[in-house]
Order: sequence, then C-alpha cells, then structure tokens
Amino acid sequence: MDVHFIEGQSLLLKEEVFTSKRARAMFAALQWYPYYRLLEAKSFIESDIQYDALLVEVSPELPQSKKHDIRYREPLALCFDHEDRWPPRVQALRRDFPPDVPHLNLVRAGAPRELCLYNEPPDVVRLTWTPPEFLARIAAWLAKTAMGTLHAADQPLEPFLLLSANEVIIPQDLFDAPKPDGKLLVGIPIVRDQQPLRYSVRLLWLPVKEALQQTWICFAFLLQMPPRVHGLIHERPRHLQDLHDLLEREGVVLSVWLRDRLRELYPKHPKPRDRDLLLLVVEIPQQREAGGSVEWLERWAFIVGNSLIQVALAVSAYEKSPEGGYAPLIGSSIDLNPKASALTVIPIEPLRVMSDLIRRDANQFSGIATGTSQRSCVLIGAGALGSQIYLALARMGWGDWTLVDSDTFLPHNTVRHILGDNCVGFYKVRALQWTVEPQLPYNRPREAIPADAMGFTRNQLLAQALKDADLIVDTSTSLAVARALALDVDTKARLVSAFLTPTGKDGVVMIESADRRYRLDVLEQQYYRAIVRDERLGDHLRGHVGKIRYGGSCRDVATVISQDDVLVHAGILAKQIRLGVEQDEPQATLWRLCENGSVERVPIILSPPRSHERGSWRVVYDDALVERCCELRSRKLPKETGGILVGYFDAQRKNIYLVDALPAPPDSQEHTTAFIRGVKGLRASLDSIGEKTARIVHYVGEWHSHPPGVGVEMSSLDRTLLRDIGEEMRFEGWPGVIFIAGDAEQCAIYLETPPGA
Amino acid sequence: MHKVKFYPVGNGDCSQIILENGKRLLFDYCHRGVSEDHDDPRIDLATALRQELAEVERDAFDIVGFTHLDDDHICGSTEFFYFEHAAKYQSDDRIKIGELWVPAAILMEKGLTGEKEVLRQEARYRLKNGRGIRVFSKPEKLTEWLESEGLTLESRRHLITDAGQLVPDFEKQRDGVEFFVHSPFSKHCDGDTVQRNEAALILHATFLVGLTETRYLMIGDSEWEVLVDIVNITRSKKRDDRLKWDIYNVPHHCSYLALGPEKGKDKTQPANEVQWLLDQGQRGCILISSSDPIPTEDTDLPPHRQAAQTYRDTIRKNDGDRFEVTMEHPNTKRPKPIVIEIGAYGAKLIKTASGGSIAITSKPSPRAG
Repeated sequence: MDVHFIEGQSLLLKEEVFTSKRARAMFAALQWYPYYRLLEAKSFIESDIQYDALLVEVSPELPQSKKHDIRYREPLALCFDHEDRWPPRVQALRRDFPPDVPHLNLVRAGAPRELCLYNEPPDVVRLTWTPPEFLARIAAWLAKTAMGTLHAADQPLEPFLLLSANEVIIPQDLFDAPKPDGKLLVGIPIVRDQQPLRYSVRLLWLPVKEALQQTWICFAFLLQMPPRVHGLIHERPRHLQDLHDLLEREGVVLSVWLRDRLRELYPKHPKPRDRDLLLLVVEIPQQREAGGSVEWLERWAFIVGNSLIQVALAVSAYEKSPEGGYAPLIGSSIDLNPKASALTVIPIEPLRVMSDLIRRDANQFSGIATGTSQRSCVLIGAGALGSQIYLALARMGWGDWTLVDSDTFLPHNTVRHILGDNCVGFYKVRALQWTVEPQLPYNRPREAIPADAMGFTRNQLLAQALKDADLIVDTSTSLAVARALALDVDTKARLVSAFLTPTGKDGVVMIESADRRYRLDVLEQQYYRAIVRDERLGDHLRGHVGKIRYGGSCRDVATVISQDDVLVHAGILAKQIRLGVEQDEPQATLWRLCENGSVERVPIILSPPRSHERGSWRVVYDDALVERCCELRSRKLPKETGGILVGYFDAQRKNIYLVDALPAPPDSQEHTTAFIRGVKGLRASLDSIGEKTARIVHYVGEWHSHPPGVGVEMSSLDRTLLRDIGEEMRFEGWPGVIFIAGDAEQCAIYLETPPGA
Repeated sequence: MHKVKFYPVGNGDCSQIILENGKRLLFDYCHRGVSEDHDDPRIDLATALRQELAEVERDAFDIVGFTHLDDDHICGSTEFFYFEHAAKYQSDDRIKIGELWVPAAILMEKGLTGEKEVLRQEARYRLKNGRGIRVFSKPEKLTEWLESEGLTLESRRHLITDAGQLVPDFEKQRDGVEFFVHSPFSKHCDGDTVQRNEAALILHATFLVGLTETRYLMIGDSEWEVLVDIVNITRSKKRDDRLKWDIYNVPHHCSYLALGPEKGKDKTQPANEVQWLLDQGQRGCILISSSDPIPTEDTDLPPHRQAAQTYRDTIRKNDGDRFEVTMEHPNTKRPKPIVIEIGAYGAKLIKTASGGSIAITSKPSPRAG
C-alpha cells in the first residue's frame, strides 16, 4: 500500500510526550478501543501551527462489495493542534484514497485527503468531544462512505463552501426576475464591524439617485456558474487568487469575467467612489450525479477587496488617469492578464446568502401546509386580543387579511397591543397596516377599513370585504356585531368569535360549522347554557359591569387585564382558529388560566339547533333543551311536571333564544292532569343565572309536560295560562311563551303577543 | 438480510444462523455453569439464547445441529433443550428443537454416559418415530441398527443425507440458503471405534441475497487429514465451488492440527490441500475462531498462536476483513457475540462498538452491594 509520509519528529509511544490534551486522551483510548491499531506518533508544524499526530490503522465495518474504495485496513493520521483549538484533523494516508467522495475537506494538491467529520462549529463540537466518540465517528464516516450512504439520498446536497458567519440577504427572485428599469442593484451594509469582523448586507434594487445618497454601497455583480456535481467541501478562499483558482476548476475565469463587468460599469453612472465595495454573488447549480437534474441552487457571495477600485486596478480593468481619477484600461490582451501576485493581495470575505422570506417559507417554518393558509379573512376588532391573534396568524403566512375597526389607538392601549406609543391618535387599523407592511412584506394586509363593523349597510368597501371573505374573525366583543354578522350580513364566510372574559382569565372561541347550520347566534345560545349548567363556570363572566356582553371593552380604562394573560390567550385562540377551521364541525371551547399556571380546556358540547316561526317571532332552541324537558317529564310520569324557561330576546330580529328549562320548584303541584308551578327558590335561581351570564339570560316563559297519549296541543287550561303570561310579559315588551313536552320527544311552542307589546 | 452469530463460549462452539425468513439454526451448544458468574468472561449462553428467542416470541429453534459428541460442543444441552424421549426433559421452560441434525456416528456410538447418552437416546427416539431428525451419512452399521429395531433403511431413507448431497429441507431460491454436506463420509463411521472428530458434521452453506452468493464453510473439530480428504474428493468431483468461502469457521478452536502435522515456530505450515482451501477465501472474507484468546506464549492445548498467525496471513493475502476470535471480540474482558450480516453486498462483520449506555440499559446491572 502506497501511503503518505508524515514529515516531522517521531515521538515515543507514551502518553506524556503529547502536548495536546486531546492527543493524550486519544492515546489512552487507542489502548483498548476496538478495530483501531496505533502504529506510531509524530509531531509536526504546518502553517505555524504545531500538531501531535497519532498514526493508526482502522478496520471499518465493510461488506464485501462496496461503492467506493474504502479498505479493510485504512491508515490514518489523527492530528491534534497543541492548543486543541480545532477538532482534530483526520488524514487518510493511503495515496489512492478516493478523491471524489462527499465530505472531504479541500487540501493543497498532493496532500493527504482529509475527512470532514463535523458540521458544527468547533465550540459546539468541544462540548461533547470524547476520543471514543471521535473514533466511532471516523469509523462510521468510512463505513458509510464505502456504501455511498454518508450522504443520504433525501439529504440536501452538500454546500459548495463551508458556512460563513456573515451574510447577505438577497431578493428571492434575484437571478430570475428581469432587471427593473432605472434601478441599480446595490448592497446596503447594515452591519459592518471590524473587531471581530462582522458583515450583514442587504441587496436591493434602488433608484440610482437613492443609491448614491448612501454613504457607501456595494456594487453587486451576479455570476451564474455551470452546474456541478456536489461533493468535496472546499476551504474558504483567502484571497482573490484562491477564488479564481476555485472557480476555474468549475469552468469560469474569474479575473477576465470581473474585468469585463468592471469595464462595463465605469462609463455608466453612478461612477464607483473610492469607498464603495464590490459584492460578488455566485449561483452554483448543484446536481446529485453528473448529467442529473439540478436539485438546488447553491448561492455564495463575497466582498472582494477593500474597495471596488482596488479590484478594478488588480484585474487591469481601470487605470489611474493623470488627473487622479480612473479610466477603463484598453490595451492588448497580454497586458491584461493580471499577475497572480496582484490577486493574492485582494482579500476575500465570504458571505452566506440568504433569500428574502416569502410566504411559502413562512408557512414552512411554522409547520403549516401551504394549501391551508390561503384564506380570505376579515378581522373585526383590532384591539388587544384581535391585533395579537391577527399578527400571530399573519406572521406564519396564514390568511389574507382585511382589518376592520373604527377605534383610534389610545395611550393605555399600548399596554396590551402589538402597536405602541407612536401610533397614538391614529386609527388602529391604519397603524396596524403601516406597522405590519414593512415587517411582513410576504403577507401584507389587503385592506384597512377604519369603520364600525355595523356600518356594512353603508360602507361599500366593508360590505364587499365581508361578502368576499372565506372567514370572518370577530374579536369586537360586541353582541350587536356578532348577531349582525350571524344573521344580517351578506356573506358566504364562516364566522369565528373570539373573546376574553372581563378578568382576562378565560378565553373563548366559537366557530360556525362549515355549512353554517350552526350560526354564531346559536353557538352563543349554547355557550350560555354551558355557563348556566356547568358548576365550574360559575365565575366565568365575573367582574362584568352591566349588560354589554363580554364586559370591559378596551375603551374602559378601568379594565385590568395583564398583557401576559392576553398573550397566552391570543396564542391559544389563534391556534384554535387556525386548526378549527380545518374541521367542518361547529366548535365552542373555552380556556381558563388557573392560579397554578396551568390552562384548563373546557369544551362546550353542541347540539343540533331547532327553530320555530310563531307569528312574527322566531323561537331558537335545540335538541338539548328538548331532551332536558323530556327527561324531567319521564321522571315524573304519570304526573305532569314543568318549570320556567330561561333565555333572551332579540327585539331587532324578533328572535327568542331558549337557553334552558329549569325543573319544577319544590312547592309545585304535579297531578296526572295538571301542573301548577311553585315559586320556592325560583328567584334565587334566576338571580344566580343572571349573575353567571352577565344579566343576559333571564326568564322568558313556562314549560310543562303532558301525560302519555295526550299530544302537545294546548288544553283549555294551557290557553288560559298562556294568556296570563302574555299579559304579564307585556310590561317588559315581550310575548308570553309556553313550551309543551309530550311523548317521544314531541314538543310544541306557543306564543301570545298581547296588543301593544 | 441473513445473520450468522458466534457466541463467546471459551474453547467450545456455538453458532447460530438466522435467516431472513425468520428460521433459526443453532449449531452446537456449550454452556458451562461457571459462565453464569458475572466475573467469567464467557457468555451465559442459556440466558442469552432464551432472551434472543423471547425477543421474537419463540420457544424453539427450527434446527439444532450437533457436529459431534465432544463435551465442548454439547455441554449443558440436556439442561436447556426439550427432549421428546423422556418426560424429565420436558419442563415448560425448555427450548424445543424442530429438527435435530446429527452425524450417523452419534446413533451408534457405544459406552456413552451422561449428556452424550441422553443425546444419543433422543436421536434414536426421533429416528424410530420417523420425524424431527436428519442423519448425516448412512454407514452399514446404521442399517444394522435399524434392523435390530425392526425398521428398514428404506423406511428412513428420507431422513438421511449423504456427503456430496444438499440438505433437502433448504432451497437457495426459497430460503435464501442451501447446505452442502462435506462430511461425515461413511468410512468415518464404520470403524470399530468411532473417531468423533473425523465423523463430525461439516457443512458448506451458500446464501443468496439478490444476485449475490455468500459462502460459509462450517467446520467443527476436524483435523487436517479430514480437510485433505474433503478437498481431494470435492475437487475430483469438480465441485470446487463448494470449497470457496467468505466465512470460515476455524476448526478445533484454532488448533494447529486443523492446518497440518507440525505446529511450526512462528506459524503453522498447512498441508498443501489445506493451503489450497485457505486460498479459496474471497475478497473481504472473515475467519472466526471459536476459542479462548490467542496466547502470546507456546501452549499445548489450542488455541495455538502459530495457527492464528497462519490465519492472519490468510486474511492479509486474500484482502480479507478480519481473523476474529470469539473470546477477544471486541475485547477479552467482556466478549460479545460476533455478528456477521449477509446481504446483497456480501458478508459484513459488525464492528459498531456495542458498549455505552444503550448496552447498559438493555440488560440487568451487575449486583450492587
């Protein structure tokens, strides 16, 4: 076997002869680690760095036939710098070690091949580096390389160059889009620190005039390389000559190419100034195999030289004119061949190339399938909760948003909002628009409509937005808005209501069914029943002041809710909205923040809605209410039973929402042919229900059961009862309502609207 | 992918073939009580095999072959296996044998006691019953014995395989493997006294995965004269292919006598035919010595360092992978079974270091005080 000879001083095979601590540890490990044999030890100097080298023979795990020529006995040199600053270098000493396998470092011609074992930086490697782990890693590198599986088929292709700490951010379509007229591609340095060297450059198409107003800029040149087969990591080029050599192997003569570009540049305006830099952006199409399809485009960028002029002089593109300026150099080709020495003094700073974020990326980084993110959404209410739900979803590239709110931003809003003090006095939606647009160019708001949502009959823009929407997210905490959206607005959109309770401890999301059979008003009715029935939710709407639905609006300076609570809920509710609309079923769920920091989820069980037209009124209720009455009825059979109905009225639309039926008070008289409802405890029950529901749910009527075989027609007694109730309810302006439950879940509703009600 | 495993049982033998189709073939068994002691480097074979079977929810091997009746190839077997011939060997925790493979000599050997006698009884019982057994070679004596039991050779013909034949139970295309019988020959079994090592079972397995054939020469305790015979007979029948090998089970715990008549100073010079046989090792071949670690000093008993050197040279010469010793793999303190995978790329000796936290957490810890 023909092997490379390691120059240097031979060392005794003793632990103490090594300067590198890692070399000592490795020496100890090689005394027992299987499938390695220590042959000899040396010490050598390379590029002023001192190394301890352990020469070993490894026997990697290999089957009999292999894709690449890795041998059963591979001689290696493990080289440790004395300071242990870098991961040890691993040289394959066999002269005919395959040169064309992936994950080899670039080395000078004739030097042993070096295995590239880590893709983490040295400081990270240091945290877990042990000699056995390192030996196992080498053995695995050889075993997998032999089978061609080190680079798995589904793994991204290997980068052409090692990672750089510095970056340039380029437009996504830089190499494909046509050059915009009158604009110049320039790199604007955003960070340029010297110690330690740190660059961050953003590449933009700027109008020529604007470009020149910058203190200094990078003139950007784009170079498209021919396709190459991946593999063989190259070391960072140190100067222009290195880069020139590197690209020449790929078929491009960089010095000539640069000279041509620089000459084209000079006659044009603006002329580069002494301080301007040259930024080279290179695109290298990568193939998995020769002649295969281009799998991805590797992009690299370099800041070349200390200034563009320096480079231009070095590649003989310009010459200094007698007046002290510069002029393009025209001369014979012999003169124009730059001297290698001229290029070695031009430093090269590699930059990582990152593309501007596009919406698809935002989806991907968020784990969202792009197909589910394209929805036309309208946000009603840009308050504390609304703005934060909106931004969470929009950031991920989810939804195309129109923002609706008539409020202006007030100083105290800053405490619980994504906007801040600079927006005070502006319409919330306008401020949101100009705040979010530069942040999320990949998902700008479609429209900001500074109008009251209730203005949809007058505001054409708003009406159209609602009509075209796929989804309307109502965070307005206004009962009127929710009702209007559910029942009056002309839209095919599915409605979502999201709100917090007055204390900010509970958050609620209600989502209509995809077929809109369960509309928001029905979900609201069932939400109240859950509050009425569920003991745990007794304090759900606590702290409510008066009858304005879900309490303290943002205009109420007295409301005390912490921003951290709003954030928790905004995250939960945003996610529930995003995932919830993927399901066709209606959903109503609330989340409670507990004292101990946990969050309790309380799903609300929904039941199929029913409604009856009775004269000019529509009675809205559901299966669950009927089931409740029938269950109470069957418990008392053959006697009749009954009780009161609780719910609420919508005078505008003439709707009666029946929320629940209460059982008979204990002093009721239940007979086989009659029922007289008592009063004991009734007042207290109604107070409690009112308390729990922010005074929204109250008495609406009476219910009773009929014995078997009688049907649900009103008896003469029932008619009298209904008339009496109607007379009483007239004083509140509502009709009297009675509900009769009979056999087999049969039921009937009767209304009495006295004249003048 | 098929697997071949060799267990570190000291100077003894136990190996297993696990076919891709799940079939398991165990060859020889050597469990010494002292191996249950934690400080003994030898594997606690009974426990290890039970665990392996439990992992695949089985309580039987499809095939158990005993190459011959020497202690180091059968030791402890009567406490481990379920035997059909007597109720005392039939407790629930015993491991069942689908088919028992034995050389014919086992059936006729006289004056046996202890475990040897139990195994002979089991083989006889199965042959009389006419199922669950395969007998290799059919010496005159076997016919005599059958007749004394009131049976004819003809009625048991299908249970007997001669040297030079393929074992009928396995087909290369169907099972991914076939077994060619090299030994015993009838002459080995017909002497007045049975020469166990000479009458031992020697098989040549050919695995087929995809289009790749991998060959495993399974030699028990044979000495060089038997190998010379085998090479000569096989070559005279133009069956050189049956002597090619990718895996070679080094005979008799690396004794020089499996190579040639003289131990030699630094290495054993093999007999010409044996040298020829070693030369049949293919590129990347693997030699396994089922033995104690190779000593650095001269020893009377195997393993012999001179023989080991000859095998190491064979690996170098044939561009083979390793000469591996069961009690040295991966170290002498805590040897672990040697595993060879056989796939479309041929044989691959598994070298992935098997220590570390995964190893610790997959077995009970040593006793704590």
